[in-house]
Amino acid sequence: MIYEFILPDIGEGISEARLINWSVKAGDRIKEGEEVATISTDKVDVELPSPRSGTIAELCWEPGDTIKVGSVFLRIETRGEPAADKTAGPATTAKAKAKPKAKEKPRRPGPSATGQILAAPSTRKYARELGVALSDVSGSGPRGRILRGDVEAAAQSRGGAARGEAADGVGLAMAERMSQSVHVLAHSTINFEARADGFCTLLDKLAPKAEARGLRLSPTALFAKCAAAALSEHPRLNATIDEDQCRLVLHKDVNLGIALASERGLLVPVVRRVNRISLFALAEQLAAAIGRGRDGALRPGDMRGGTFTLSNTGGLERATITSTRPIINAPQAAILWVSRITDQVRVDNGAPGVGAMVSCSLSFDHRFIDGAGALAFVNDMADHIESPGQALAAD
Amino acid sequence: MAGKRKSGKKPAAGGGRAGGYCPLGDAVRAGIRQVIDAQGRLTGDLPEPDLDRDTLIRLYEMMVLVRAIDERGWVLQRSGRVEFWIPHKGLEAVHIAATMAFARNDWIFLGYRHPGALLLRGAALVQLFAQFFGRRDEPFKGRRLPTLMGDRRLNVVPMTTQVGSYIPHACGAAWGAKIKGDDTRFLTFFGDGATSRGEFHSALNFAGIFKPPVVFICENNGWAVTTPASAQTASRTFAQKGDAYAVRNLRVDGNDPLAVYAAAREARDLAAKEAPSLIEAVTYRLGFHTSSDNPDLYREPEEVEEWAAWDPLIRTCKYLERKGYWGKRQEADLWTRCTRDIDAAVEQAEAMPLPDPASMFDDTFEQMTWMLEEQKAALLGDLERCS
Repeated sequence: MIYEFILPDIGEGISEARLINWSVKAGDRIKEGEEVATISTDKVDVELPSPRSGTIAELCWEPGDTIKVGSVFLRIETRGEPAADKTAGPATTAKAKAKPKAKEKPRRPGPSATGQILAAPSTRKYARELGVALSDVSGSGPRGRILRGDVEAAAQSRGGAARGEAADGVGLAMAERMSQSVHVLAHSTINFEARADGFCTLLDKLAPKAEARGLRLSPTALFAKCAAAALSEHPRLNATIDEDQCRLVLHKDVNLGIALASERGLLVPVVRRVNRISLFALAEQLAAAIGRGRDGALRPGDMRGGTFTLSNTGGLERATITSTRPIINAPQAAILWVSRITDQVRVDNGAPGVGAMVSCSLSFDHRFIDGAGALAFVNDMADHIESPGQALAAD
Repeated sequence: MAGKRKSGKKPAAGGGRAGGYCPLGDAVRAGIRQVIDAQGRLTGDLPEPDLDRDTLIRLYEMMVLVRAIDERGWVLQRSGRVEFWIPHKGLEAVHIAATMAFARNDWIFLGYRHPGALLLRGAALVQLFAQFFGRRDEPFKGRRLPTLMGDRRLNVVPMTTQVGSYIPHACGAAWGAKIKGDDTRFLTFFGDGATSRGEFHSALNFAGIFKPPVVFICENNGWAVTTPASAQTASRTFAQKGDAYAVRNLRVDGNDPLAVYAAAREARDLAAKEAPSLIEAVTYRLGFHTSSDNPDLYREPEEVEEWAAWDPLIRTCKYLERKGYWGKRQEADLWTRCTRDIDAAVEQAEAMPLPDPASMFDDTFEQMTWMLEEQKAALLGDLERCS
């Protein structure tokens, strides 16, 4: 029977060790407790004793190799030995099974990876008091931890009562965030165009229905639904960056930051769960957020917890803008700018023609999102703009 | 306190010979009470305690068993079978001799590194190893860090990992016994590092005023992880801290089980007469602080060598040989027996079942809180997803 000696965490939090040398070779008979190798960790050089008696069947590494804790270190043939193989440390066996998965992911799995909700007990209690389900809240803290403000924001977006917070310093915070974003993130931008005929047709068709409900349907609302649909298909773009752990935290729900020009400067209120609410509900929330922004009534909680930002400058444009280089709203990992829809000369089925076009620019953090991944999102985003019906399918 | 730094040639608090690391060779000058020297000769200032042959042999056998447990535990940890290890090599004499000086129904509040206290009270070896392996059917149901042991049935309170936090508990429990009129006495162990904690001072102050039947044993083993005793206190000794609180105090050779026994026995007797004691047992941690430590980074090999010459096992063995109670054959037999018993305990304990993960939420509140219920549900959900 083969006993696999799994490299143990011999030093409380050691993740890997370097093999200095073997004290045995394949075929050697060994007794439990006899030295098999010397390894070096970041704390100490250690002589590892054999966990079992038997014959060395395989040395799995070469001196100099760096070995992850949890990997098979060596194999021992224990046949004929009175070893308790079937009970050979269930704890270590479980570890060995779990590790290969962990290798593919950076360090600890994030909250979205495990579905685990991170929140302090006081925050959990607060959420209960406000009747907010934590599973519906996007955390803005480290590793997606849900903070008190996130719970407040969730309660507000649901129309629940929330306490007032001074709006002072919002602009300053935004300035800091932008500056930090440019210095830390590896910005990469893709510019693209999409045909917007179908988009305009759909907007025109839905506008009277919206009006009947007292709503004004803006292109931004429909762009937001298209983005939510594309983001659901490309979750790496719907993410926040955990700088401490140097990794991306993916989010289930699309909490869309909407860039908004106001007298106080740039504001980015967050509309929550855009992937789950209807176009009209979105339009309503958008209008409310824009109203609060213009009135200077947005609270910090209204602007927290975004997972992606949409910037539509259509309402501000007189010149024809063909591309921008949007700055990512850190800790988010990507941002999409869309232009005013204009009629452009274009080629349709090999013949010159005129049609509605929109210009778009996607910036993404190239440290965590590669070009192919960003392009895949862009392809689908363009498709959704060209035929936006599907983006509303869930409505 | 101090981080990773090389100790200077500075002896433990109140050291002995100039330039030396170990003060035990000049115990009188360092105010350290002693019965036997490094060769097991009766040269100390304390009289030989009145212990019969069987008791002395039992004392030594327990010291050897405890040493053998440490050697085995270390290998088990290094080969990935036990998660963590707190070595106790060189520290056998203090806790074993002190436990023997107390009555079976006296309460002991343990520090680290004291498996002998439980074994002397009758705990089976397999119970200890089941705790080391984190198995379900041991008193703590597999939930505690290996070697942080205890057993309520044996009046042995497990160590609280927060250094020194339990010293007031021992003191308060002793006070309770006094109020109730019990004849129970209380013994607590802690290290030199614990004397820098507020709890030590609170407990000593309380003991000085209310005089509960408690004996405080400060195991001064030279190092609080990486902090040498010389950087732990500016006092000449740890014992003298008792003076500030009017608590009787003395220093004793912690590598001399006879001296520890004599001091602890006297302290136990006095404890019932409104005289709690603080005993500083001067000893030395020959091994690592824990399996996560690397003492080569902060102490000199010469220091360890010097102390190894005062190894309590060697001294006790020589003492027994001089008395004609012990020989080479008994020594070899004892080690064989210890190894065999430990082998059996390891095999039996490792085959025992692990705790059910959901059980970690039990035994916290009489009625589980909603928060724990949520956590439990989340854990069970995760486990189901993983399987």
